[in-house]
Amino acid sequence: MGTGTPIPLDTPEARLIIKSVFPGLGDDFTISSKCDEDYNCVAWGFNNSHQYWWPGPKGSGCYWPPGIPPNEKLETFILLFEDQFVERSASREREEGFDKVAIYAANGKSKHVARLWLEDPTWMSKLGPKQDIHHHSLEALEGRYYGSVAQIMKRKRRTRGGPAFTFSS
Amino acid sequence: MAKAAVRRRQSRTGPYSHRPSRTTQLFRKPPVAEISKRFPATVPIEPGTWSSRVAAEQAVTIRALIAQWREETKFTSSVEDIIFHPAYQRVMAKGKAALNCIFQDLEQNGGFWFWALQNITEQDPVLPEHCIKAAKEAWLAWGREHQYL
Repeated sequence: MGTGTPIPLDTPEARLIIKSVFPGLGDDFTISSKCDEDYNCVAWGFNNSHQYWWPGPKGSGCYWPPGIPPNEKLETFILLFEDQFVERSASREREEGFDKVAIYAANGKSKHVARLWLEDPTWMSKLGPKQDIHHHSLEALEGRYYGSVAQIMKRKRRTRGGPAFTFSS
Repeated sequence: MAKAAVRRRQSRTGPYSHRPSRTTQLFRKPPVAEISKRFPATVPIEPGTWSSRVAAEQAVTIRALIAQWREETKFTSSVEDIIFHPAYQRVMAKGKAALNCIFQDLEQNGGFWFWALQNITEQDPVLPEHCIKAAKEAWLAWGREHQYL
C-alpha cells in the first residue's frame, strides 16, 4: 500500500461529473488532486491544504481567523483577503509580479474562491470537498453553484520567483 | 333541574376546584424526562416484526435523502448551504432513528454531519482545536461507544 502505481486523478468519470455541474468548463480543465475534505477553496487560496476555512458553527472542525466576523457575506471575505492581499483589483488578467484571488458570490454571500499564482499556468480551484482543478477562465465556474465573480484581489509577490506566500494561521 | 345545576356550579367553584380532576390526571402529558425514562432511545427491534419493517423502510428513506444531499452539495464549500440543505434537514428531523445511517455515512464518506449529530444527540465530543478529520474521528469514537456503529 502506498508504494504501488498512483491512482489516476484525471479520469473520464471524474471529468464527466465535474462537467455535468460546471458545463462552462467544457474540456478546458485538468484535475490536479484527489478528493479531500480536509481543506477547501478558501484555504487553497492561502496555499493551505490542511484546514477547512469557513465560518462554521462550534464543533464543525472549520477554521476561521479570529477578528474576522463569522459570516459568509462578500464584504467579510474581502476583509479576510485584504489582510494579506492588500488591494482590490478590477482586472481578471495575469499581472506581472502579482498573485490573484477571485471571490465568487451569489446574493451577497460568498460561495467560492479561485486563485492565480505567478507560477501557475491557469486559475486553480478547489471544488468544495472534492478535487483541485486548473481552469483557464473564471467564467467557466460561474452558474448556479458558485454564482458569479464578485471581487478580484491582488497582492504583490515580495520575492520574484520565490515561493507563493502562505498565510500564517 | 335547578338544584342539579346549582350542584354542578358548586362542584366547579368548590373548595377542591383547583385540583386537577381524576380524568386530567390520567390523561395528562408526562414531562419529556419521564417519557425518555419510560421509553429508552434504543429499543431492540425483533426481526420479522412490524417494527422491523418500519425501521427498514425508514432506513431506505434516510439513505435516499443522504444520497440526494450528497449529490446536490458535492462541490459546495459553504457550511451554511450544506447543513441547511432541505434533505439534510429532513434527515435531522428523523431524530435518533437516523443515527445508524448518519454514522455509517460519516464513516464511509465523511461530510458535515456534526450539526445533525449535535442536535439529535445533544452531545458534542469535538474540541475547538479539532480540524475536520479530528472532528470526524471524535464523532466516530462517540458512535462506537454508544453502539451506533
